[in-house]
Amino acid sequence: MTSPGEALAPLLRRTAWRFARQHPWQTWLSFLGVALGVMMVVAVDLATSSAERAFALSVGTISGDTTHRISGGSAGVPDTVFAGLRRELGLRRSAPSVSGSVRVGRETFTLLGLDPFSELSLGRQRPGLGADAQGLGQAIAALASRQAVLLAAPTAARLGLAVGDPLPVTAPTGQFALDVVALVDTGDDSGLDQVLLADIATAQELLGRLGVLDSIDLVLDEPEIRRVDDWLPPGLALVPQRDRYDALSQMTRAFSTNLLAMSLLALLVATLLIYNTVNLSVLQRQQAFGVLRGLGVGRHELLRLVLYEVLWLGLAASTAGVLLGLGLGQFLVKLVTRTIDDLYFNLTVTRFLFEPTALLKGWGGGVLLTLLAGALPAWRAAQVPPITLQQEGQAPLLAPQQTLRFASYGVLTLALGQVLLWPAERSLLLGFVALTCMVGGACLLVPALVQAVLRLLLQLPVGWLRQTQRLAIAMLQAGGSRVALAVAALAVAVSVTVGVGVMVASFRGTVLLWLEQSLQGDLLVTALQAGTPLPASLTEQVAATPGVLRQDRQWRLRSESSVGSVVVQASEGDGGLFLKELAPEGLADVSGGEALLVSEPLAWQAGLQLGDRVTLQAAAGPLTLRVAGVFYDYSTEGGIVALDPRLLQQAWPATAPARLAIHLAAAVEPETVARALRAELEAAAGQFGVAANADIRRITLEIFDRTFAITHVLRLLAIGVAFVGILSALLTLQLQRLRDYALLRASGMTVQETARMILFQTTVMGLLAGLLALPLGLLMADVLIDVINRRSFGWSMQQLLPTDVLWQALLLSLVAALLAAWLPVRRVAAVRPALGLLAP
Amino acid sequence: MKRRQLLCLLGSGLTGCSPAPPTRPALSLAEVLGGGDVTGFARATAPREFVFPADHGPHPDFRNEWWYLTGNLQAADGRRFGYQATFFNAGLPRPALPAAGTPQSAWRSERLWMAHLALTDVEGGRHYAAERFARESPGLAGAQAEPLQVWLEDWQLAGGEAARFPWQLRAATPEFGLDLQLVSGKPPVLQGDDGLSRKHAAPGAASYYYSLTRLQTRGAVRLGTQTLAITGSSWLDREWSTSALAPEQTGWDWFSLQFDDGRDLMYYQLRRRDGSSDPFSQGSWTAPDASQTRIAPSDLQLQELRQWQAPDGVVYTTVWRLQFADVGYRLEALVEAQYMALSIPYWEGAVRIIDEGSGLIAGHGYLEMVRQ
Repeated sequence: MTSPGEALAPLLRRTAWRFARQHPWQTWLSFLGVALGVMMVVAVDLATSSAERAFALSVGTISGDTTHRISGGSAGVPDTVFAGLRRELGLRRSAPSVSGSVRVGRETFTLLGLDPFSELSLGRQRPGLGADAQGLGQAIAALASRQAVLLAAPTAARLGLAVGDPLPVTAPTGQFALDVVALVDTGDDSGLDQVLLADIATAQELLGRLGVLDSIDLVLDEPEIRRVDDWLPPGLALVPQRDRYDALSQMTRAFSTNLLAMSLLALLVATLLIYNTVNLSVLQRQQAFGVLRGLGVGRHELLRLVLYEVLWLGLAASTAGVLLGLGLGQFLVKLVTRTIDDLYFNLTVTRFLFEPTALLKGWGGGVLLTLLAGALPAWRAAQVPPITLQQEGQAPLLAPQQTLRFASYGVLTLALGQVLLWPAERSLLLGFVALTCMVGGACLLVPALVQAVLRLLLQLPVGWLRQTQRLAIAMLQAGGSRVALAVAALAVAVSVTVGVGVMVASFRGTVLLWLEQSLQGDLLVTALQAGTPLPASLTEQVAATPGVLRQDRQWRLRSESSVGSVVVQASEGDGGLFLKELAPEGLADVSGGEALLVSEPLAWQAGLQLGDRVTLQAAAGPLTLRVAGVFYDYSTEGGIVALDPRLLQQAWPATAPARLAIHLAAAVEPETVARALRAELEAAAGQFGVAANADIRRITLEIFDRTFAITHVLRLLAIGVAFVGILSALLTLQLQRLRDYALLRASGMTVQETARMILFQTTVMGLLAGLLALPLGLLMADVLIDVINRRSFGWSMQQLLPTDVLWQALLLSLVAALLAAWLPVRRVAAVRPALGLLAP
Repeated sequence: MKRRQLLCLLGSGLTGCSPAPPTRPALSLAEVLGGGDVTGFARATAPREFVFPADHGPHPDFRNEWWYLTGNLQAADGRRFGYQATFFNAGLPRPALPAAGTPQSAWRSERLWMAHLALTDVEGGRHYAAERFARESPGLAGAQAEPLQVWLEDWQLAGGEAARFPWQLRAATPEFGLDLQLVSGKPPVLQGDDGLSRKHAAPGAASYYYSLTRLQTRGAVRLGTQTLAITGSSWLDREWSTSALAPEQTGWDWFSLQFDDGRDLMYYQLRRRDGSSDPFSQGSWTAPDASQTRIAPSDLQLQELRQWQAPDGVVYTTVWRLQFADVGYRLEALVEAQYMALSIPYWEGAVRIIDEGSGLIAGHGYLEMVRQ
């Protein structure tokens, strides 16, 4: 003897299936919501892990599995140091490298110069070199010719090159036709996508780095570390590779975290959406469930039924989401790697990495969230009391006291978020928790707010609203939690766009300010290859050029220091620094050669405070200075310290200026002078560039905009999810009310009037969502700016309030709401009053 | 595979093997030790006058050159060791000269170096071998006559001003190390035809070859963390050439034997593809007073008595019978597996000489067997 529930199980499932078929829009929309949410998470996960892998590979291509690196900053490491390491210290696990950028057509490649014998003795596992015998043999073969290079086979295929072909290359020392002597069969992840491998002699000659190595990578044990430390000539430093790698990978990780935050917000919107649809479907079947209960179906069976439906939805939609995410991920990875490229590091790998765990995570997350979102409605379905067919089911709406309880939870959660923000200053995770609390709290507040606003609207003087509009509002009010949920979903989605929009705009504005401050004069003369000093004769040439008022020399070099590798800069004229903090008398101390200024990211990463001391490994010996101030910096060379130019020249006597900032007379056109200067510099064989500061500003902003292109894509996707959400909420809301509309039509209301009524309702909802999204979005921007970006990049920003972002948000929610009204309007218009009245 | 390519580079000067397909067959020794382009290098065509100490130093006009030290050592407690320390170098084909005034990288080397270091622990029955490669510049490897110095990184053989003895050999790996002082008991012995050692009939197919056949040796051997004071006797072979084996020559057996009565014997037998001994095989006796007698293949008989198979399947002979003017000797490897499992695999190891008549040990020496 089976229980009635068991006997009815097939029937139950059939009712569920039939319900889904009868409400295709509802089903499809909740499917789409989950799928889109999962898609975003999976795509971002795949893209960032591909990027991180690419990053690790790129770092690996350059440094390999070594423990330490000897670096000498901009000056490099003399060849003789390597010979000394081998001959005097007998450290064979060491390998030199020289690298620099060369152009092949329109692409930039890293020309990596290695000594194959050293690679062999180091036992370095390089993709395509050393790790595989063929690669090493070919690398050694490159020694044969003066201009031989090796290429990864896929790169050669892309460039249409075969072994023996000439490869025209523009290097710092001129133009060359290099010989492709061999192709390195790299397998999948080689890190050699954008690399030309050459013998170290060839690289030095092409890059104009004779006698100098970039660095020497080493595998050292403890006693060896001490020996090297004692032996190293001044100006050189032994740096653990882990430190270098950590600093870099931390930055990329932080970047991915920003992206993940956005995708998680999208998933949150999707969860609200699922809750909404499942809840509606339960409410719609209230009477059916009551009857089933009356027939003997147990609470558990009903619970299981609804969860079963939700599970199927979750499984199907998550699978679709994962598939879509794979597609989107391929596109995103390009954006992400480009961003990392622009921001931090010349990535040599851009290949998409298929990572099963990311897929599994997204899929599992989607299913789990769907189940969680559906759990409450399922529980509610199980609470339906047994009724007979004659009885009416009750439609439980959110009771006023429940709305209030929700609101108070909301306030509490919001407060918790604020409290969490306080210690979150240095913890990214806490920052996210705080952000989630705020979004969640805001959602909980929405029902109360919506009810309050609707009540307020109904209390407006009679003449202000037409009767149909009052009726529409009353209908919304009766819609209760469903309306609130739709509004909340839309509000959260739109607030993401506001938050990210405000953050990006603030960032951009700050960068602009910083550019204005730090780009001194009208023209800038720089060496095209980092490290090439400007010749002394240049200043005379510049001074003799008509239109030039004044020139400020600027020095830039890289040095090891007590806080890692830093860029040391000094500038004549007013330092061109956008100061954030300054100790009393700070500038006087700097010009007195007693103190230095540090860039904000450096201060943040190294935990430097005013008054702290920083030791620089200057060529003339260690130089310890007090930190007298912090300046904003949004360049990506890592930490920068600024010194007085006289002090820098004393500490690095051999260093020539790297840049020249030229001030022009008022009426002079910068481009005219730039052209004249370029003609004069022709002799220097393209080693120096002359750029108008206006161009630099434009290009910097172009790079900036490109960098944040990915955030726009994600914003659009979040809006997509929200749109689906509001569409499904409105649709079900309106479809449920088909009978009411039919009644209204039957009592003489025209199709147009009904349509206007629906449009009015959606306008109110859209406006409400938009207005709620503004404060929530600003709050989000606040967290993004103060916690997440500061934490990720060490950048603080001037917070700006871009009005266009705010208007766009309002407009967006209105348009989304109105678009969502289109389908219901058509449906309602098509209803024949008599038939509509018969609708269940 | 990689090592072979490396050697291909070292020996043949790259031309033959650059973009190697993955399944390139193993290089022949002829290729390694002297195939490829010889344009621009001097050839050993006629006897020359040897001048010391200058000739202890490098001869960069020739493509290949080596300093080849082998020796038998004994610790105070009687433990015996054999050792080998070799510095090879090979000239690269001269790349096209850079355009006038084009600056050149210090790494643009004209010569590549390879060094082998081996130690046989006779009691322990173990054999250790290591190799190194480096390009010559910037200062990574090289040789000079005044003061004598031959080095590859921190492995080095150094003499005083005017190559005054003692010379010092210092070379170590994490597993073992040698720190030896060498004093020659005999003047240099010019091998072959007054130092011109012909390898086959083609013109220039010869090397300049001299030996220091008795180098009294003292110093220390390190095995792991244990350092032992030792004394013994070493042998230095010096050879430079721009030649290779003929196609039909497939390897050689080389003996350097120091008899307890003060005589030294050098003999190399070039092996032909058909298994016979090449008529260009030759050697010499050096008497205690350093007087020298040349040996032709017809003067002695060599018999292979016991074979040992290397992991790569190549068979080497570890017990030989050598008969010279009615006197027979047995040459026995002190350890069977003195196999140099390096980029060019070969067998090189310490042997003892047993007088067949008395059955007593008559001396010690070194044996090198190279097979293709």
